[in-house]
Amino acid sequence: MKRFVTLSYRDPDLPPFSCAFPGRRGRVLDLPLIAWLTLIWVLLWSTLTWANVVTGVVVAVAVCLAFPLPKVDLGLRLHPWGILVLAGYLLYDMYTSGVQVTRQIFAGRPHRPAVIGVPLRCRSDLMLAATAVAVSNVPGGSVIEVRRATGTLFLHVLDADRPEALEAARRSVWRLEALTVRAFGTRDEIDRVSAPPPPTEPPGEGEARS
Amino acid sequence: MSGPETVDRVLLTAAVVVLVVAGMLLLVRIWRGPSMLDRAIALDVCAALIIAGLGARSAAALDSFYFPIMLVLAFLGFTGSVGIARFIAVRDRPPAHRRPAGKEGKG
Amino acid sequence: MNVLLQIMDTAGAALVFVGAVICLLGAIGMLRLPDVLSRSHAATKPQTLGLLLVLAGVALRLRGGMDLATLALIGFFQLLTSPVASHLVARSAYRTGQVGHSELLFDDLDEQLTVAEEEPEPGPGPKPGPERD
Repeated sequence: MKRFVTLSYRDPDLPPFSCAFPGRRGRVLDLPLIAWLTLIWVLLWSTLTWANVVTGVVVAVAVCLAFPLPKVDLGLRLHPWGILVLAGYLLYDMYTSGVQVTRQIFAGRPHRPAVIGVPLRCRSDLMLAATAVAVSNVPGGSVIEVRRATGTLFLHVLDADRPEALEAARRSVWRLEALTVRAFGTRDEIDRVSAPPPPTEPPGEGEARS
Repeated sequence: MSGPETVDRVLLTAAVVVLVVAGMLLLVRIWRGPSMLDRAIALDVCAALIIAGLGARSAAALDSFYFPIMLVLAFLGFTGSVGIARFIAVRDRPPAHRRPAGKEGKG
Repeated sequence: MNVLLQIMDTAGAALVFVGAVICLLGAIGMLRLPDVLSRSHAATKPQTLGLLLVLAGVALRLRGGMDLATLALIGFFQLLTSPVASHLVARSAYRTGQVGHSELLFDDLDEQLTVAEEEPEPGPGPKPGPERD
């Protein structure tokens, strides 16, 4: 017998938290995505009523059926404590980087920027993207280029007068990467991030860190 | 009107004035900007300033009428600069930088 | 109780003012910094910080549950989208050569790009040059 809706815990082929409709094309609905779209719909109407919630669900399901996304597991897991730690660290980091950029703006002398490459430890695309977004807020980091094959981030560092500044930028990127993956990553990625950072060989300081 | 309310009003009016001054400085950058990319960044900042200004206005009037506009600007404010960076800046090379000529001439 | 609400109101107004001043600092940075990449630093960091402070101030003054959620969503999307724009602008600036390479202290990406160019790419590209895609 066929069910009208198949939930993901009955069918291990489906990605987690999704349900499938039987039929020729086999549409798969991602339930968290629908909840997220409904939330945005309600916030756009800016009043929480049952009518808004119901129309939001209807519109979200219609949009997801009309424009189906590919059936992939992004590797997004939510760890609440990790998200809290990440948010706190990001706020602190945003404060310090704001102060630092402001000091650069009002320093009369010309500064020496640099472009550095930082190899990352995580491999999934979502984690790379999330780390790149988070890194844009660290003191002196603006992502120029991402190498997906090697998982390397290329940053523009604003204040690179001393080599210690470059080292500090690298270390903060790795720290931020670990925090991001602990907030959103799968178990596999967290294990990978717990390993020590990969050694880099920039000209002049090619020592391996422990 | 009591004393603290006057303080609030003065602070919020000052905030709006500061935001308008920031917008004028951005207009100077958009006018002078040597390349399209500078203008793209300035447009991005401009969207953020508009959000901040609407926020200041909502804080002054204590209503949430403009919140959907702020939300949509936060969604879509970056698309303009993305379009410029992606499609226009490649064609627009300012001759100001002597990097390629100087490097290849010496080497 | 009334005093507490009044304190929250005034604190919210002060936060909005501080955020606006930080936005102004970012705009001054847009004027003063010398090249595109440095300006994108000034555009993202003080700007986002100032906007978040303004939103926090508005939240302190309005204090409604739904309004708080909307403000949090605005801040979240601003955090999410402004790095995207800044990254695309920086990438485009680097690839069209608007970065003063002589002023850079050192540059890891330059050799990577040139190495990638020397390798034969699958399929003959119609246009040579690093800014193809």
